[in-house]
Parts: sequence; C-alpha cells; structure tokens
Amino acid sequence: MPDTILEVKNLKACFHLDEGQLRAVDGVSFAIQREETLGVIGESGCGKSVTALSILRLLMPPGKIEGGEILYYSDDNQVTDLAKLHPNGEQIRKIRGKEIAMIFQEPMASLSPVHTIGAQMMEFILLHNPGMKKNEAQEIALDMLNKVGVSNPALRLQNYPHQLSGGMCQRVMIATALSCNPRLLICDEPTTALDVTVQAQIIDLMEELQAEMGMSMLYITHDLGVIAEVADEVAVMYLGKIVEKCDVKTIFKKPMHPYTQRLMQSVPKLGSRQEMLDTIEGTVPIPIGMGAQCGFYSRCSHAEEGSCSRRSPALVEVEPGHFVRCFKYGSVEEGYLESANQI
Amino acid sequence: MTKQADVIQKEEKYYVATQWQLMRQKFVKHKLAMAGLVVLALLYTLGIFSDFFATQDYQKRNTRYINAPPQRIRFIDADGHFHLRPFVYGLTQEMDPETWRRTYVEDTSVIQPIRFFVRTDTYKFWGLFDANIRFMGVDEGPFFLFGTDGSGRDLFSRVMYATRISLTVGLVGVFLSFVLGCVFGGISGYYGGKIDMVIQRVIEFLLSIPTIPLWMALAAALPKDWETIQIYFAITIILSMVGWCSLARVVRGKLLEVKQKDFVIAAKLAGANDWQIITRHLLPSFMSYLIVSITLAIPNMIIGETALSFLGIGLRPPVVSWGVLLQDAQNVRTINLHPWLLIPAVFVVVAVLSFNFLGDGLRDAADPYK
Amino acid sequence: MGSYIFNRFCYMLISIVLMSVVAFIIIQLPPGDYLSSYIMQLQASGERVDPAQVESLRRQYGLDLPMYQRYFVWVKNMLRGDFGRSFDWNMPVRTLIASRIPMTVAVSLVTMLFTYLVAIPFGIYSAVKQYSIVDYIVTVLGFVGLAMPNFLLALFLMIFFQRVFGFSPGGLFSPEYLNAPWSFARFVDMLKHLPVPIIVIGASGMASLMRVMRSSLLDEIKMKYVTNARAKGLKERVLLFRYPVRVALNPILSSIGWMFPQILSGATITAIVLNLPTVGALMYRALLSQDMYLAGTCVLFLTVFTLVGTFISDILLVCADPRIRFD
Ligand SMILES: Nc1ncnc2c1ncn2[C@@H]1O[C@H](COP(=O)(O)OP(=O)(O)OP(=O)(O)O)[C@@H](O)[C@H]1O
Ligand SMILES: [Mg+2]
Repeated sequence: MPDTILEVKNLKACFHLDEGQLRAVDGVSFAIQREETLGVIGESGCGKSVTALSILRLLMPPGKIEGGEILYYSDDNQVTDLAKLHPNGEQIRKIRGKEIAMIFQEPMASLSPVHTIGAQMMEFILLHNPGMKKNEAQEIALDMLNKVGVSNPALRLQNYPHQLSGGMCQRVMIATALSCNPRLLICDEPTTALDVTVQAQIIDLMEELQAEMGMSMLYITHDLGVIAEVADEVAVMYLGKIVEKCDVKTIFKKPMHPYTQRLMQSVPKLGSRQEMLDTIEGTVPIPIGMGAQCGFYSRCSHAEEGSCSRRSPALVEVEPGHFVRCFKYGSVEEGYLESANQI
Repeated sequence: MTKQADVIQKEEKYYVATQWQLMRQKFVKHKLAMAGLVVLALLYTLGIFSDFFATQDYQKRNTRYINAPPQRIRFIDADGHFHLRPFVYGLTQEMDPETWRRTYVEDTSVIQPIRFFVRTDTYKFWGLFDANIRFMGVDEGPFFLFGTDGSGRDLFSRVMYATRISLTVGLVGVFLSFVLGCVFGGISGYYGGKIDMVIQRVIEFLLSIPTIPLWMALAAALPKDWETIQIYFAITIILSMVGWCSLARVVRGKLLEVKQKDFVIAAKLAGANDWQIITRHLLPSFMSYLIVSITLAIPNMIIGETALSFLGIGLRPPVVSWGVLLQDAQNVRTINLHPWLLIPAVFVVVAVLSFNFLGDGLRDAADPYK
Repeated sequence: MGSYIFNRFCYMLISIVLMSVVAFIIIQLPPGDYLSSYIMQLQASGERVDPAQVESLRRQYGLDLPMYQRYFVWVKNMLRGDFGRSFDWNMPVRTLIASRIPMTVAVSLVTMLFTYLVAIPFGIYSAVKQYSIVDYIVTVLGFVGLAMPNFLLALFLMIFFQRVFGFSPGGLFSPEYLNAPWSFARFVDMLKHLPVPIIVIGASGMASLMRVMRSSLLDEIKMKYVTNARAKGLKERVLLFRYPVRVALNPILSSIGWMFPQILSGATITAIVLNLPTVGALMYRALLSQDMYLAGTCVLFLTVFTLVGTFISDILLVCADPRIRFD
C-alpha cells in the first residue's frame, strides 16, 4: 500500500494580467503522506493559496494552471492527475468535498449570507450521500457541530452566518468540511482571521479530529508557531517556489535557506532576551517579468553578484530528506539536471 | 545589474502608480468612454459656438421653402464629375395641383459649392458682439442641411441653437443639484444625528415620488407671462429639485466612510475647523465619486427638459431646445411626411448615450483597484 | 419584524400626508381659483350664473377661508370621497379618475412584471457568459434603453408598427372596441395594443435592471462563498442559481422601490404620446387646461400608488434578505 495520498509535481500557475504574466506558483513539488500533515509556510503573496486552489482546480481566470501534475491516489490505489481533469467536470466534482475538502481563509465570507447554516451544511451532506433523507442529513450536521464544539447546535442550524462570531463560523466550516469524511483536508490559514485564544482552540480541535478520522492535511499558514504544532513535514515557500523542505524538527533545529533562517529570527523566542526582533528587509517582489535569478536575491544577505543574480538555483537534497534551493549549499542552476539527463 | 534595475522598474510601475495615474490609465482604456468624451466635446463646441455654426438666423422664415427636405452634400455631380469642394444642388418647388402639397426636387443644373468661413449678414455672437462670419454657407440659394420646418425655418441652424440650450440646461441643473446635494449631504453626513434623520427622510420621500408627473405639474403651473429666461431657470430648478437627492446620498455615504479615517481625525486634533476639514480633506478624497454621479445625472436632466418641452409645458418658443424642436414631430402623420423633423431626436440620444458612456468609464476608473 | 413593518407603515402615512400638501399647493398654484374658472366657463357657455349656487360651492370648498383651513376642508372632502369637480369635463373628479384607475394599475403592474421577467434572465445570462454575443447585445440594448427617452421610443415604435404591421398602436383599444363592453374580442384587441406601451414604459427600467443584475452577479460570482460551495463539489449550474444568483437578486428586489416611481413616471409620458386611457394622460390634459382639482388629484393618486407599492416591496425585501436588521 503506497503511503502517498497526493503528489504535486512541478506545478505552475499563472495569472494573465494587463501588466504581464504573474507567476504565482512556479514549479512547486511536494507529496503528502497518509495521515500526515504537510505544513506550508511563507509570507503573504508567495502563492500558498494559489497552490491550494490549484489542487482542487478552483483557480478562476485570469488564473490558470500552466503545467505540472497533481496526482491523487484514491483508496483503491487508482491514480488521477487532477491537473488534467476538466475544471468543472464530473470527476473533479466527485473528489471535491468528498475526498479532498478545503477550509478557507475567511470563514465569514465563505458562507452564503442568505442561507441558514443548516441549509448550507445539509446541502453538501446530501450532495455526497445520494438517497439520504433530510432528517438523516440533519442528524449528521448536528453531530458534526457538536463535535467541533458549537454550543446549542440545533439553534445554530437555524441561524444565518451574520448571527455567528468568526470563530463560530470557522467551526461551522470545519464541521461542514468534515461531514463527508474527506481523506485529505486542505486548510488555507483557517485561523488567521481569529483571535489568539480561539486560534489555539481551533488548532487543537483540528489535530484531535485528524487523529480521530485518520485524515491527511495540507496546512497553510504564515505562523511558525502553528506549523510547529500541527505539521509533520514543512515546505517553505517564497515567490511561488519551495525554497526549503524537510521534517518539522529539522526546520526549527537547522534551517538552511537564508530566507528560512531570517524567518526563524523574526519570531520571538521564549526565554531569550532579544532587544529587537529581526525583520526581513524589503518586500516580496511581484513575480512579473522576472528574469533568471534567485527570487530572494534582492533581500538576501548572502547573495553573490553573478551567480545569484543571473541564475536561479534548483531544489536539491542537501542532507537526506532535507531539500534546499540555494547556491550556498552547492545547488546547481535550475533546469541543469534535466538538460544534463537529456544528453 | 541592468536586469535588476529593470525588475525594480517593473515593480515600481505596479506598486507606485498614484491613484490618479491608475484612474487615468483605466479610463483611457475604456473605449466607449473615450468615444463619449470626444462626442460630448464636439457637441459642446457646437453649442458654445452655435451662432457661428448655424448657417442662418434660426428664426428666419424662408417662406419659399416650407417643409423642404434636407439637401444632400455631394461630391459627385449628375454627370459623374468629382468635385473636391462639396456642393449642394439647388431646390425647385412644385405644387401638386390636386393635393396642394408642396414637393421639392433637386435642380441638378444649379451647383452651389459649400464655402467655409463665409461672410454673411451680421448677427450678434452670444447676443453680445457683432459678427458676420459663419462656418459654412453657399453663395446664394437655399442651404438647408437638415431641411426646414412648417414655417420655413432652417432646421440645421435651429438644432445648433437648441444644442446650446439643451446642453446647458443639463449643466445648470446639475450645478444646482450639486450645490444642494453637497450642502444637504454634507450637513447630513457630517453632523449626523437628528438633522441627518430628517434630511434622509426628506430625500427618501422625494425619491419615492414619480418625477415626470411632479415636474409636469410644477412646470405647467409656471405663469404664462414669464420671460423666456425666467422659464429657463424655473425649469432647471424644477429639474434639479429631485436631482440633488441622489447626489446628497453619495456625499453623505462617502462622508460617513471617510469621517472615521485617520487623516480626518488627525486634522481635527490639529485644530482645523469644520469648514476646513470638509473642503480641504473630505471633498478631495471623494471628488471622483462626485464626478461620476454628476456625469450620470446630466443625461437625466437633458431627458427631463426634452420631455417637458416636447409636451409643451417646458421651455417655450422662441427659445429652442431639442424638446421644443421635437414638438413639431408629435404625430405619426407629420413624421411620415417630414421625417427630417426627427433629426433633433438623434442629438438627444447621442448626447445622453455619450454621457452614460462617459459616466461608466469614470465609474470604472474611480475604482482603480477593482 | 412587526415593529419594522409598523414603522415603515407610519412612514408611508406621513409621506402620503406630505404628498397631499404638495398636491394641494399644485392645485393652488395657478392664479385664480376653481370657482372663478367655473363661473367663467358657465358664462362662456351662455348659462346663467346663480349667485346662490356659487355661494354654496364657495362654502363647500371653503374658498373664502385662509389657505391652511382650505387645505383641511379639501382633505375632509377627500376623505368623504369628494375630490372636487373638473370644470373642463364638467364632472366630479372622482368619477373621472375612478374610471381610469383599473387601466393605470393594470398597465403599470403588467409592465413591472414584464420588466423583471425579461431583465433578470438576460442579466444573469450576460453575467455568466461575459463578453459573449448576447452579453454585447444586452449591453447595447441596455444603453439604448437608458438613452432613449420614453416619448421618443414611443414615437419610433408607432412609426415602426405602422410601417411594418400597418396598424397604429396608439391607445389601448381599436376604435370599434373603445366604448364597447368587455368581451373576449375586446380583450384580444387590448392584448394586441399592449406590447408597445409595455416596451416603451419598461425599456429604461429594464435596461437599468439588467445592468444591476449583471454587475451584482459578476461581483457575487467572485465571492469566497461561491468558491467554497464549488470546493464542496456542487455542479456549476446548481451552484450559480442557488448561491450567487440568489444573493444578487436582493438588489433587484430592493429596486422595486425605485422601479415604481420610474414606471409610473414613464407611464405618464408614454400614456400622453400613445393616448392611453390612464390617469397620466388625464393629468396632462388637465394641466394644459389648468383644470387644477383634476390635475392635483391625479398627482396625488399617482404618488400614493407609488408610495404604497414601495411600502409593499420594502416588506417583501425584509422577508427575503436576513441581513437586514430591524432597528
Ligand atoms: N485573482 C488574482 N488575480 C491576480 N493576481 C492574483 C490573484 N490571486 C492571487 N494573485 C497573485 O498571486 C500571488 C500569490 O497569491 P496567493 O493568494 O497565493 O498568496 P498567499 O501566499 O496565499 O498570501 P496570503 O498569506 O496573503 O493569503 C500574489 O502575488 C497575488 O498578487
Ligand atoms: Mg492566501
């Protein structure tokens, strides 16, 4: 039995804008193992959400998947390349919600303002359980709401989203997403919009539920603390690319990519007495019309004129299971390996 | 290094473009809006210099040419010769002996070249100074590009003058609405509370009245013996009585939105008084929205004036507006006989369309980040 | 909810009272009062003017009272069902208006219905198939509908119908049915005459509704909750109608509020050009002959009709959109 549930290979997604082509995701590869959690971390705008949307084929024009594979391994060991499916076709719709569920960044905006919570939850339950009775679906909905710790679920079913708090909405979203027993749950910063205490509760809740239901998770965040708590493996994204990938212990113990290192320094550490937090100078460039260069070049303190400004490094395995994209660790130019293989 | 500079430049373009630049870029890309702008510029030029563009006095009755059809501007004559200078043929009138109806036929033996910047009889430019040059004309004989009406008056010249009146009714009306809207919307949004409540209720009330019946009733009640200029202003006031409401709403809404913003609070703390805050800080920050609302309010004024005049209860002759001209085209029989009397309608539609296009483009541009 | 409806109802009543003041002012605006016009008319037709009758009329309408008292007399008379007399028609205003109310209400409501039935599907279609041919046609027609004043559209359609179908669409009935009692044939005849007024009156409202529908649907389609619903595996079509369209219908529903005044406004001027037997056309004639009791009452009727319509639509909206809070 293969352990992988989802494998993304060299995924590329673009936005065709008036200003030019915006490469939001530029050759991202990763795999998610059964019952494990892959954490994806990166600054705002680095392409995390676009990656997540691409997996379920939810990217809307002007966004488009330009290349790569998204291999989904279903229960019976069938492999489907989601990137090849019709974006609104029967096949992908069977997978959405049922096999792979997703939770979005802003819970409030993700619920229809004119339908009751109950109506929205039951719609999806009925959709993936054809032939189920209304009251059975309601039972499931009540059950799920109970599980995620919503108080007075029977009443909540009658409520509209605007009558709920943000945390409550996110619990409802989680309940809805889990009500069809998905095998993989994609969480796109599910706690960013919430205050810290609620955030902690929700994260605990999700870990619990994951263990209970045996799901895999793709957990997107820009919060290192959250990553430390939930992830088994971590991928660090910068400017549409994965710059470092390893298991969660290693990333905190021995970050290698200059960006990851700076990221770690920008987090306050308990017990250490820092006068000032480090910040990363500069802002993320907009990936429009960038030539071949390391994306972090303009902000990197180790950058070398010449190599870093003219060539973009490839992701190479520096230590077993530890991938880094930086010339500092003897990375070769991107595309070099492929062209070498061809000769 | 140059590459890097290049990248930075690109980024800058994306990030640093000011709001106005973004707006302009977006507006220029809106083709219909640009077209609307050009057409309006043209129409206003015609309106401002209508004395100059008219080919004759708009009240002059050419008794020999009653209900004459428009003359065609030609380049090729009956013998197939090409003329670089456009010309019109002469007109001869024939009387049907049975129906006593006049018909006109082109007299191909008379070729009247059209001359530009011709000297004509003296007229008063803007009613102020004497002038005797007109844009177009022929040496002699009839020259009716849009035909003539039942009194033999040249429709082209009348349309030129009507353009001036109709377009300015829109402007004056909108100016009045603008002032009223800013004052009441400003008071309402800035002070809030009870005043706000009352003004809002009044606006809702006015907006819930069907406009045309109200306008008609008010316009019909204007004394019959008023001067044309009095009527003109009375009509614009009547039209703007409802027009200010939506503007006031825009002003109020934006004010409420902006009032909470930091720069206003900062100005308040720095001791600026209310008036300064409103004019220096608040107005500029939602100027774009105001411009959009104004642009979209003008066509309503124009349609309102045209409708009232068309029904005979708006502007009254001898003042001509598009609506007044269209009074001649009130029934199907006349239109069948003299279809050119509908030419002013084309101007109405084109002007209103252009304003709508322009407004649309401005609205899109006002939200450059969308 | 109940208190909201009650408040809204009170507000409507206040508006109606305000409107009655406006109507009263309109009646009083022209120089000379109703009675002197009436006397002049009697004299013109060579009838003898009975001073006693004049005196009783004067008392009935309170013409010798100061302005504000006269208003109350007028209101009192109206509440009793006496709307004054039309000297032009020499008939009670009430009879005149009553005979035209059914047609006015019918034409307005049918137009309203038609407007929404056309605008909503086309608005949806042109939003979903953005930049398709239909979208362009809808956009162009929308602009034409906005830019073409009703009376011009009426003129053009009249000419068009006469040239193409050879009948004049003026009025609501052909001459032979004009004063005939209701029969099936008369009904069919009316149906034949209805399209032109409906198109003319509805055109501009339809145009703006289509634009509202299109743009709000375009906004809604981009919303997070649509992506969320899609991520749950819903079919595109089901998704579209159940979520974004449902939400985008709210501004459309709330548009009934301004559609009522607009349609009655358009209906007035269209009725004049097309010679329809409605209150609007009656008012026009009354205004031209300064038959002010009739004119004022017409204005009052048209506005009250609008205010009541708006009231009803507001109540409907509250039922449809849970986001509106009642405060
Ligand atoms: N609809 C869109 N149109 C154009 N550009 C887009 C669109 N959505 C995303 N982008 C661009 O794609 C890039 C990646 O965006 P993405 O939403 O994936 O960022 P993110 O990592 O999720 O950031 P955040 O932490 O703020 O959610 C950004 O540069 C963004 O500007
Ligand atoms: Mg995101």
